[in-house]
Amino acid sequence: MQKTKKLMIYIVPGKCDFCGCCVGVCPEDAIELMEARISIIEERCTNCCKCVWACPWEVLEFHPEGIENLPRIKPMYLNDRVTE
Amino acid sequence: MLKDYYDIIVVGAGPAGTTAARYASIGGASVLVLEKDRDVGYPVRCGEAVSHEGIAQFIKPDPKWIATTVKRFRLFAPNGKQVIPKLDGIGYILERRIFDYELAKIAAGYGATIITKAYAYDLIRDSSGNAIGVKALIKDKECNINCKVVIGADGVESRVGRWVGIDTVCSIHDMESCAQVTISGIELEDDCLDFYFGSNVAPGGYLWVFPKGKNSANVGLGISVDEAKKKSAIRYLEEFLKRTFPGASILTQISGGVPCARTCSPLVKNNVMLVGDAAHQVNPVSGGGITSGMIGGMLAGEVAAEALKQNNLSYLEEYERLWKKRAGWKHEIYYRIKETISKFTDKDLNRIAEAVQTLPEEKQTLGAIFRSALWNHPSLLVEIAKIFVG
Repeated sequence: MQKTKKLMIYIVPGKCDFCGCCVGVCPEDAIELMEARISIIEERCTNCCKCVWACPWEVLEFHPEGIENLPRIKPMYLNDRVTE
Repeated sequence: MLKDYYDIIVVGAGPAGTTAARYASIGGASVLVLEKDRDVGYPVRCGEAVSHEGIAQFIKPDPKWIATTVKRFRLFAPNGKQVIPKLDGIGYILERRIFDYELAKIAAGYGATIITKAYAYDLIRDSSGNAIGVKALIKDKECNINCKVVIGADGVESRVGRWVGIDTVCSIHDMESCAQVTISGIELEDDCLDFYFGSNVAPGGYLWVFPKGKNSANVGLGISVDEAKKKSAIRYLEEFLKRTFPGASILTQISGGVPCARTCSPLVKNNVMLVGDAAHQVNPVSGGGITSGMIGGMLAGEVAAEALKQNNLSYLEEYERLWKKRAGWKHEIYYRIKETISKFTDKDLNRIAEAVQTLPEEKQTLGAIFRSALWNHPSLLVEIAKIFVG
Protein backbone atom coordinates (compact mmCIF):
# COMPACT_ATOMS: atom_id res chain seq x y z
CA MET A 1 0.00 0.00 0.00
CA GLN A 2 1.16 3.53 -0.79
CA LYS A 3 2.54 5.47 2.14
CA THR A 4 0.39 8.53 2.65
CA LYS A 5 1.79 11.65 4.27
CA LYS A 6 -0.43 12.25 7.23
CA LEU A 7 -0.76 9.87 10.16
CA MET A 8 -4.44 9.21 10.76
CA ILE A 9 -4.34 6.42 13.31
CA TYR A 10 -4.73 7.57 16.87
CA ILE A 11 -4.10 5.65 20.08
CA VAL A 12 -6.36 7.06 22.76
CA PRO A 13 -4.04 7.74 25.72
CA GLY A 14 -4.60 5.75 28.89
CA LYS A 15 -7.01 3.27 27.37
CA CYS A 16 -4.70 0.54 26.04
CA ASP A 17 -4.36 -2.88 27.71
CA PHE A 18 -1.13 -3.61 25.74
CA CYS A 19 -2.45 -6.93 24.44
CA GLY A 20 -0.75 -6.78 21.03
CA CYS A 21 -3.72 -7.76 18.88
CA CYS A 22 -3.10 -4.67 16.73
CA VAL A 23 0.59 -5.53 16.30
CA GLY A 24 -0.34 -9.02 15.10
CA VAL A 25 -2.36 -7.69 12.17
CA CYS A 26 -0.14 -4.72 11.25
CA PRO A 27 1.31 -5.44 7.80
CA GLU A 28 3.95 -2.72 8.12
CA ASP A 29 5.53 -3.52 11.51
CA ALA A 30 4.48 0.01 12.40
CA ILE A 31 3.44 -0.47 16.01
CA GLU A 32 5.91 -0.52 18.87
CA LEU A 33 4.59 -2.27 21.94
CA MET A 34 6.55 -2.32 25.16
CA GLU A 35 5.40 -3.39 28.61
CA ALA A 36 3.07 -0.47 29.11
CA ARG A 37 3.87 1.84 26.26
CA ILE A 38 2.45 1.70 22.77
CA SER A 39 3.10 3.97 19.82
CA ILE A 40 2.80 4.09 16.07
CA ILE A 41 5.92 4.40 13.94
CA GLU A 42 4.74 7.18 11.70
CA GLU A 43 7.33 6.54 8.98
CA ARG A 44 5.88 3.08 8.37
CA CYS A 45 2.16 3.45 8.97
CA THR A 46 0.00 3.49 5.82
CA ASN A 47 -3.26 4.24 7.65
CA CYS A 48 -4.67 0.88 6.51
CA CYS A 49 -6.83 0.71 9.65
CA LYS A 50 -6.39 -3.02 10.35
CA CYS A 51 -5.23 -2.18 13.88
CA VAL A 52 -8.33 -0.05 14.41
CA TRP A 53 -10.58 -2.95 13.45
CA ALA A 54 -8.61 -5.52 15.45
CA CYS A 55 -8.53 -3.65 18.75
CA PRO A 56 -10.92 -5.41 21.15
CA TRP A 57 -11.38 -2.25 23.22
CA GLU A 58 -11.63 0.53 20.63
CA VAL A 59 -8.36 2.04 21.77
CA LEU A 60 -7.28 2.86 18.22
CA GLU A 61 -9.18 5.39 16.15
CA PHE A 62 -9.10 6.53 12.55
CA HIS A 63 -8.96 10.33 12.13
CA PRO A 64 -9.00 11.18 8.40
CA GLU A 65 -8.15 14.80 9.18
CA GLY A 66 -4.83 13.71 10.70
CA ILE A 67 -3.75 13.50 14.32
CA GLU A 68 -0.94 16.05 14.52
CA ASN A 69 -2.86 18.19 16.99
CA LEU A 70 -3.75 15.34 19.34
CA PRO A 71 -1.60 14.47 22.37
CA ARG A 72 0.33 11.25 21.86
CA ILE A 73 3.32 9.12 22.79
CA LYS A 74 6.14 8.90 20.26
CA PRO A 75 8.00 5.62 19.61
CA MET A 76 11.38 5.19 21.32
CA TYR A 77 13.27 2.56 19.43
CA LEU A 78 13.24 2.06 15.71
CA ASN A 79 14.54 -1.31 14.72
CA ASP A 80 16.26 -1.63 11.35
CA ARG A 81 13.96 -3.11 8.79
CA VAL A 82 15.13 -6.02 6.70
CA THR A 83 12.22 -6.37 4.33
CA GLU A 84 11.22 -3.29 2.45
CA MET B 1 24.98 -11.37 36.21
CA LEU B 2 24.09 -10.93 32.59
CA LYS B 3 26.74 -12.28 30.22
CA ASP B 4 27.42 -10.96 26.75
CA TYR B 5 26.97 -14.36 25.11
CA TYR B 6 24.49 -17.24 25.39
CA ASP B 7 24.09 -20.12 22.94
CA ILE B 8 20.38 -19.39 22.61
CA ILE B 9 18.31 -16.31 23.36
CA VAL B 10 14.57 -16.85 23.77
CA VAL B 11 12.38 -13.76 23.38
CA GLY B 12 9.29 -14.13 25.56
CA ALA B 13 8.68 -16.06 28.80
CA GLY B 14 5.23 -17.50 28.15
CA PRO B 15 4.69 -21.28 28.15
CA ALA B 16 6.23 -21.71 24.67
CA GLY B 17 9.32 -19.66 25.50
CA THR B 18 10.09 -21.21 28.87
CA THR B 19 9.44 -24.70 27.48
CA ALA B 20 11.91 -24.00 24.67
CA ALA B 21 14.39 -22.75 27.29
CA ARG B 22 13.86 -25.84 29.43
CA TYR B 23 14.50 -28.36 26.64
CA ALA B 24 17.40 -26.40 25.18
CA SER B 25 18.99 -26.31 28.64
CA ILE B 26 18.45 -30.03 29.10
CA GLY B 27 20.20 -30.45 25.73
CA GLY B 28 23.26 -28.70 27.11
CA ALA B 29 22.89 -25.18 25.68
CA SER B 30 23.31 -21.97 27.65
CA VAL B 31 20.02 -20.11 27.42
CA LEU B 32 18.82 -16.59 28.14
CA VAL B 33 15.11 -15.73 28.21
CA LEU B 34 14.09 -12.08 27.76
CA GLU B 35 10.63 -11.11 29.01
CA LYS B 36 9.41 -7.61 28.19
CA ASP B 37 6.99 -7.42 31.11
CA ARG B 38 8.16 -7.05 34.69
CA ASP B 39 6.52 -10.31 35.72
CA VAL B 40 6.46 -13.78 34.28
CA GLY B 41 2.83 -14.90 34.00
CA TYR B 42 1.24 -11.49 34.33
CA PRO B 43 -0.79 -9.92 32.83
CA VAL B 44 -2.73 -13.04 31.88
CA ARG B 45 -4.09 -13.02 28.33
CA CYS B 46 -5.93 -16.29 28.19
CA GLY B 47 -9.21 -18.15 28.80
CA GLU B 48 -7.03 -20.58 30.79
CA ALA B 49 -8.64 -23.87 29.71
CA VAL B 50 -6.46 -26.90 28.92
CA SER B 51 -7.00 -30.64 28.66
CA HIS B 52 -5.36 -32.96 31.16
CA GLU B 53 -3.68 -35.00 28.46
CA GLY B 54 -2.32 -31.89 26.76
CA ILE B 55 -0.69 -30.47 29.85
CA ALA B 56 0.37 -33.63 31.69
CA GLN B 57 3.01 -34.44 29.08
CA PHE B 58 4.95 -31.40 30.32
CA ILE B 59 4.14 -30.91 33.97
CA LYS B 60 2.44 -32.86 36.72
CA PRO B 61 -0.96 -31.26 37.43
CA ASP B 62 -0.72 -29.38 40.70
CA PRO B 63 -3.61 -27.86 42.69
CA LYS B 64 -1.62 -24.66 43.19
CA TRP B 65 -2.13 -23.68 39.52
CA ILE B 66 -5.44 -25.40 38.88
CA ALA B 67 -8.45 -23.20 39.64
CA THR B 68 -11.04 -25.79 38.66
CA THR B 69 -11.23 -29.29 37.24
CA VAL B 70 -13.88 -29.61 34.54
CA LYS B 71 -15.56 -32.83 33.49
CA ARG B 72 -18.08 -31.77 30.85
CA PHE B 73 -19.04 -29.01 28.54
CA ARG B 74 -22.17 -27.48 27.10
CA LEU B 75 -22.60 -25.94 23.69
CA PHE B 76 -25.32 -23.33 23.26
CA ALA B 77 -26.75 -22.90 19.77
CA PRO B 78 -27.90 -19.42 18.70
CA ASN B 79 -31.51 -20.29 19.60
CA GLY B 80 -30.45 -21.26 23.13
CA LYS B 81 -30.69 -25.04 22.60
CA GLN B 82 -28.02 -26.88 24.56
CA VAL B 83 -25.94 -29.82 23.52
CA ILE B 84 -23.99 -31.55 26.26
CA PRO B 85 -21.53 -33.87 24.55
CA LYS B 86 -20.01 -36.77 26.44
CA LEU B 87 -16.31 -36.31 27.09
CA ASP B 88 -13.56 -38.76 27.77
CA GLY B 89 -10.81 -37.04 29.74
CA ILE B 90 -10.93 -34.07 32.06
CA GLY B 91 -9.80 -30.51 31.69
CA TYR B 92 -8.48 -27.75 33.89
CA ILE B 93 -8.98 -24.04 34.24
CA LEU B 94 -5.53 -22.78 35.09
CA GLU B 95 -4.25 -19.95 37.20
CA ARG B 96 -1.93 -18.84 34.45
CA ARG B 97 0.04 -16.42 36.57
CA ILE B 98 1.10 -19.31 38.80
CA PHE B 99 1.33 -21.86 35.99
CA ASP B 100 3.66 -19.70 33.87
CA TYR B 101 5.78 -19.05 36.95
CA GLU B 102 6.13 -22.80 37.54
CA LEU B 103 7.22 -23.39 33.95
CA ALA B 104 9.78 -20.60 34.26
CA LYS B 105 11.06 -22.14 37.51
CA ILE B 106 11.50 -25.49 35.79
CA ALA B 107 13.52 -23.85 32.98
CA ALA B 108 15.62 -21.95 35.51
CA GLY B 109 16.12 -25.20 37.41
CA TYR B 110 17.78 -26.68 34.33
CA GLY B 111 20.11 -23.70 34.13
CA ALA B 112 18.33 -21.18 31.90
CA THR B 113 18.69 -17.50 32.82
CA ILE B 114 15.42 -15.56 32.78
CA ILE B 115 15.21 -11.81 33.03
CA THR B 116 12.14 -9.61 33.06
CA LYS B 117 11.59 -6.02 31.99
CA ALA B 118 13.81 -6.90 29.05
CA TYR B 119 12.45 -5.63 25.76
CA ALA B 120 14.09 -7.05 22.62
CA TYR B 121 13.85 -4.46 19.87
CA ASP B 122 16.11 -5.78 17.14
CA LEU B 123 18.56 -8.49 16.12
CA ILE B 124 22.29 -8.30 15.68
CA ARG B 125 23.06 -9.77 12.26
CA ASP B 126 26.16 -10.93 10.42
CA SER B 127 26.92 -9.90 6.84
CA SER B 128 24.68 -12.62 5.40
CA GLY B 129 21.71 -11.52 7.49
CA ASN B 130 21.89 -14.34 10.03
CA ALA B 131 20.94 -13.50 13.60
CA ILE B 132 23.99 -13.51 15.88
CA GLY B 133 22.46 -11.68 18.80
CA VAL B 134 19.68 -9.53 20.20
CA LYS B 135 19.48 -5.83 20.96
CA ALA B 136 17.43 -5.26 24.05
CA LEU B 137 16.41 -2.60 26.48
CA ILE B 138 16.99 -4.28 29.81
CA LYS B 139 15.70 -2.41 32.83
CA ASP B 140 15.97 0.77 30.77
CA LYS B 141 19.55 0.08 29.66
CA GLU B 142 20.49 -0.73 26.06
CA CYS B 143 22.29 -4.06 25.78
CA ASN B 144 23.71 -6.09 22.91
CA ILE B 145 23.86 -9.79 23.69
CA ASN B 146 25.36 -12.31 21.30
CA CYS B 147 24.11 -15.81 20.60
CA LYS B 148 24.00 -18.47 17.92
CA VAL B 149 20.23 -19.06 17.82
CA VAL B 150 17.27 -16.79 18.56
CA ILE B 151 13.93 -18.36 19.48
CA GLY B 152 11.03 -15.96 18.97
CA ALA B 153 8.36 -16.76 21.56
CA ASP B 154 7.06 -13.21 21.59
CA GLY B 155 3.40 -13.96 21.24
CA VAL B 156 0.67 -12.63 19.01
CA GLU B 157 2.54 -9.31 18.80
CA SER B 158 5.62 -11.11 17.49
CA ARG B 159 8.19 -9.02 15.68
CA VAL B 160 11.21 -11.32 15.93
CA GLY B 161 10.16 -13.29 12.85
CA ARG B 162 9.58 -10.13 10.85
CA TRP B 163 13.14 -9.05 11.53
CA VAL B 164 14.41 -11.91 9.37
CA GLY B 165 11.62 -11.62 6.83
CA ILE B 166 9.31 -14.41 8.05
CA ASP B 167 5.74 -13.37 7.39
CA THR B 168 4.09 -13.50 10.83
CA VAL B 169 1.34 -11.00 10.04
CA CYS B 170 -2.04 -12.56 10.78
CA SER B 171 -4.82 -11.81 8.31
CA ILE B 172 -7.78 -9.94 9.75
CA HIS B 173 -9.93 -12.89 8.78
CA ASP B 174 -7.90 -15.26 10.97
CA MET B 175 -7.16 -12.95 13.89
CA GLU B 176 -9.67 -13.33 16.71
CA SER B 177 -10.17 -10.09 18.60
CA CYS B 178 -10.84 -11.09 22.21
CA ALA B 179 -12.12 -9.52 25.39
CA GLN B 180 -12.50 -11.26 28.73
CA VAL B 181 -13.53 -10.48 32.26
CA THR B 182 -13.07 -12.51 35.39
CA ILE B 183 -16.28 -12.07 37.34
CA SER B 184 -17.31 -13.03 40.83
CA GLY B 185 -20.46 -13.08 42.92
CA ILE B 186 -22.27 -15.38 40.51
CA GLU B 187 -23.61 -18.90 40.74
CA LEU B 188 -22.60 -21.55 38.27
CA GLU B 189 -21.86 -25.21 37.82
CA ASP B 190 -18.18 -25.39 38.51
CA ASP B 191 -17.39 -28.59 36.61
CA CYS B 192 -18.64 -27.41 33.24
CA LEU B 193 -17.28 -25.33 30.37
CA ASP B 194 -19.93 -23.34 28.50
CA PHE B 195 -19.60 -22.25 24.88
CA TYR B 196 -22.05 -19.94 23.15
CA PHE B 197 -22.32 -19.59 19.39
CA GLY B 198 -24.20 -17.26 17.08
CA SER B 199 -24.01 -14.04 15.16
CA ASN B 200 -25.50 -12.04 18.05
CA VAL B 201 -23.12 -13.46 20.63
CA ALA B 202 -19.75 -13.84 18.91
CA PRO B 203 -19.79 -13.71 15.09
CA GLY B 204 -16.96 -15.70 13.55
CA GLY B 205 -15.92 -17.06 16.94
CA TYR B 206 -17.50 -18.08 20.23
CA LEU B 207 -18.12 -16.90 23.75
CA TRP B 208 -16.87 -18.90 26.71
CA VAL B 209 -17.79 -19.15 30.38
CA PHE B 210 -15.04 -21.04 32.19
CA PRO B 211 -15.56 -21.53 35.94
CA LYS B 212 -12.87 -20.56 38.41
CA GLY B 213 -14.29 -22.04 41.57
CA LYS B 214 -17.94 -22.03 42.54
CA ASN B 215 -18.78 -18.36 42.21
CA SER B 216 -16.22 -16.98 39.81
CA ALA B 217 -15.58 -17.39 36.08
CA ASN B 218 -13.65 -16.22 33.07
CA VAL B 219 -16.24 -14.87 30.65
CA GLY B 220 -14.79 -13.93 27.32
CA LEU B 221 -15.24 -14.03 23.61
CA GLY B 222 -13.32 -13.91 20.40
CA ILE B 223 -14.65 -12.61 17.11
CA SER B 224 -13.03 -12.53 13.72
CA VAL B 225 -11.59 -9.08 12.95
CA ASP B 226 -13.70 -9.30 9.76
CA GLU B 227 -16.65 -8.92 12.12
CA ALA B 228 -14.94 -6.69 14.68
CA LYS B 229 -14.73 -4.07 11.92
CA LYS B 230 -18.45 -3.53 12.39
CA LYS B 231 -18.66 -3.91 16.17
CA SER B 232 -15.86 -4.48 18.64
CA ALA B 233 -15.36 -7.46 20.96
CA ILE B 234 -15.89 -5.44 24.13
CA ARG B 235 -19.39 -4.39 22.98
CA TYR B 236 -20.47 -7.99 22.45
CA LEU B 237 -19.06 -8.91 25.84
CA GLU B 238 -20.79 -6.06 27.63
CA GLU B 239 -24.11 -7.06 26.08
CA PHE B 240 -23.70 -10.69 27.14
CA LEU B 241 -22.75 -9.74 30.70
CA LYS B 242 -25.76 -7.47 30.98
CA ARG B 243 -28.08 -10.25 29.80
CA THR B 244 -26.52 -13.18 31.62
CA PHE B 245 -24.64 -11.94 34.69
CA PRO B 246 -26.13 -8.59 35.66
CA GLY B 247 -24.67 -7.31 38.90
CA ALA B 248 -21.59 -9.52 38.85
CA SER B 249 -18.37 -7.96 40.12
CA ILE B 250 -15.65 -7.63 37.52
CA LEU B 251 -12.29 -8.49 39.04
CA THR B 252 -10.16 -8.38 35.91
CA GLN B 253 -10.75 -7.11 32.42
CA ILE B 254 -8.36 -7.99 29.62
CA SER B 255 -8.10 -7.91 25.87
CA GLY B 256 -6.13 -10.09 23.50
CA GLY B 257 -5.62 -11.40 20.02
CA VAL B 258 -5.54 -15.07 18.98
CA PRO B 259 -4.04 -15.96 15.59
CA CYS B 260 -6.42 -18.75 14.47
CA ALA B 261 -4.39 -19.25 11.33
CA ARG B 262 -2.21 -21.83 9.67
CA THR B 263 1.20 -22.28 11.30
CA CYS B 264 3.72 -19.76 9.95
CA SER B 265 6.09 -21.05 7.31
CA PRO B 266 9.01 -21.09 7.31
CA LEU B 267 9.38 -21.62 11.06
CA VAL B 268 13.15 -21.24 10.82
CA LYS B 269 15.19 -18.64 8.97
CA ASN B 270 18.60 -17.04 9.47
CA ASN B 271 19.12 -18.80 12.82
CA VAL B 272 15.74 -17.60 14.09
CA MET B 273 13.09 -20.13 15.17
CA LEU B 274 9.49 -19.24 16.02
CA VAL B 275 7.35 -20.96 18.66
CA GLY B 276 3.90 -20.55 20.20
CA ASP B 277 1.53 -17.74 19.19
CA ALA B 278 4.44 -16.06 17.42
CA ALA B 279 4.45 -19.04 15.04
CA HIS B 280 0.62 -19.19 14.98
CA GLN B 281 0.83 -22.57 16.73
CA VAL B 282 -2.76 -22.26 17.85
CA ASN B 283 -5.59 -24.74 17.31
CA PRO B 284 -7.55 -22.71 14.75
CA VAL B 285 -10.92 -24.13 15.82
CA SER B 286 -10.65 -23.72 19.59
CA GLY B 287 -8.10 -20.91 19.70
CA GLY B 288 -6.25 -22.95 22.34
CA GLY B 289 -2.53 -22.39 22.23
CA ILE B 290 -0.99 -23.44 25.54
CA THR B 291 -0.32 -27.09 24.79
CA SER B 292 0.56 -26.60 21.12
CA GLY B 293 2.86 -23.71 22.00
CA MET B 294 4.61 -25.95 24.53
CA ILE B 295 4.98 -28.70 21.93
CA GLY B 296 6.52 -26.12 19.56
CA GLY B 297 8.77 -24.88 22.36
CA MET B 298 9.93 -28.37 23.27
CA LEU B 299 10.73 -29.31 19.67
CA ALA B 300 12.51 -26.02 18.96
CA GLY B 301 14.52 -26.23 22.19
CA GLU B 302 15.61 -29.80 21.53
CA VAL B 303 16.50 -29.15 17.90
CA ALA B 304 18.43 -25.97 18.73
CA ALA B 305 20.48 -27.76 21.40
CA GLU B 306 21.19 -30.60 19.00
CA ALA B 307 22.21 -28.21 16.21
CA LEU B 308 24.67 -26.53 18.57
CA LYS B 309 26.03 -29.89 19.69
CA GLN B 310 26.60 -30.85 16.05
CA ASN B 311 27.92 -27.36 15.33
CA ASN B 312 25.58 -27.40 12.34
CA LEU B 313 22.97 -24.65 12.30
CA SER B 314 21.35 -25.95 9.13
CA TYR B 315 19.99 -28.71 11.38
CA LEU B 316 17.63 -26.05 12.87
CA GLU B 317 15.32 -26.64 9.92
CA GLU B 318 14.54 -30.07 11.30
CA TYR B 319 12.25 -28.24 13.74
CA GLU B 320 9.67 -27.39 11.09
CA ARG B 321 9.55 -31.01 9.90
CA LEU B 322 9.10 -32.28 13.47
CA TRP B 323 6.38 -29.71 14.20
CA LYS B 324 4.41 -30.77 11.13
CA LYS B 325 4.74 -34.43 12.07
CA ARG B 326 3.78 -33.92 15.71
CA ALA B 327 0.99 -31.32 15.57
CA GLY B 328 1.13 -29.24 12.39
CA TRP B 329 -0.77 -31.76 10.29
CA LYS B 330 -3.65 -31.68 12.77
CA HIS B 331 -3.68 -27.89 12.78
CA GLU B 332 -3.94 -27.97 9.01
CA ILE B 333 -7.10 -30.11 9.28
CA TYR B 334 -8.50 -27.91 12.07
CA TYR B 335 -7.89 -24.85 9.94
CA ARG B 336 -9.98 -26.30 7.12
CA ILE B 337 -12.72 -27.23 9.58
CA LYS B 338 -12.65 -23.68 10.96
CA GLU B 339 -12.97 -22.24 7.49
CA THR B 340 -16.09 -24.30 6.88
CA ILE B 341 -17.61 -23.69 10.31
CA SER B 342 -17.07 -19.96 9.94
CA LYS B 343 -19.47 -20.01 7.00
CA PHE B 344 -22.25 -21.65 9.06
CA THR B 345 -25.26 -19.44 9.58
CA ASP B 346 -27.21 -19.32 12.85
CA LYS B 347 -29.79 -21.55 11.16
CA ASP B 348 -27.13 -24.15 10.34
CA LEU B 349 -25.91 -24.16 13.93
CA ASN B 350 -29.45 -24.51 15.30
CA ARG B 351 -30.11 -27.38 12.93
CA ILE B 352 -26.96 -29.21 13.99
CA ALA B 353 -27.87 -28.79 17.68
CA GLU B 354 -31.40 -30.07 17.05
CA ALA B 355 -30.14 -33.08 15.10
CA VAL B 356 -27.77 -34.04 17.91
CA GLN B 357 -30.50 -33.57 20.55
CA THR B 358 -32.63 -36.24 18.89
CA LEU B 359 -29.95 -38.81 19.69
CA PRO B 360 -30.04 -40.77 22.95
CA GLU B 361 -27.99 -38.96 25.57
CA GLU B 362 -25.08 -41.41 25.60
CA LYS B 363 -24.69 -40.94 21.85
CA GLN B 364 -24.41 -37.15 22.07
CA THR B 365 -20.69 -36.96 21.49
CA LEU B 366 -18.38 -34.56 19.72
CA GLY B 367 -18.26 -37.13 16.93
CA ALA B 368 -22.05 -36.96 16.61
CA ILE B 369 -21.95 -33.17 16.40
CA PHE B 370 -19.31 -33.46 13.73
CA ARG B 371 -21.32 -36.06 11.79
CA SER B 372 -24.36 -33.85 11.96
CA ALA B 373 -22.31 -30.91 10.71
CA LEU B 374 -21.06 -33.08 7.86
CA TRP B 375 -24.58 -34.16 7.02
CA ASN B 376 -25.61 -30.55 6.70
CA HIS B 377 -22.39 -29.47 5.01
CA PRO B 378 -20.82 -32.22 2.95
CA SER B 379 -18.28 -29.64 1.75
CA LEU B 380 -16.65 -30.00 5.18
CA LEU B 381 -15.55 -33.48 4.18
CA VAL B 382 -14.16 -32.25 0.89
CA GLU B 383 -12.06 -29.67 2.73
CA ILE B 384 -10.68 -32.29 5.09
CA ALA B 385 -10.10 -34.76 2.24
CA LYS B 386 -8.02 -32.14 0.42
CA ILE B 387 -5.35 -32.31 3.06
CA PHE B 388 -4.69 -35.97 2.36
CA VAL B 389 -4.37 -35.47 -1.37
CA GLY B 390 -2.16 -32.45 -0.98
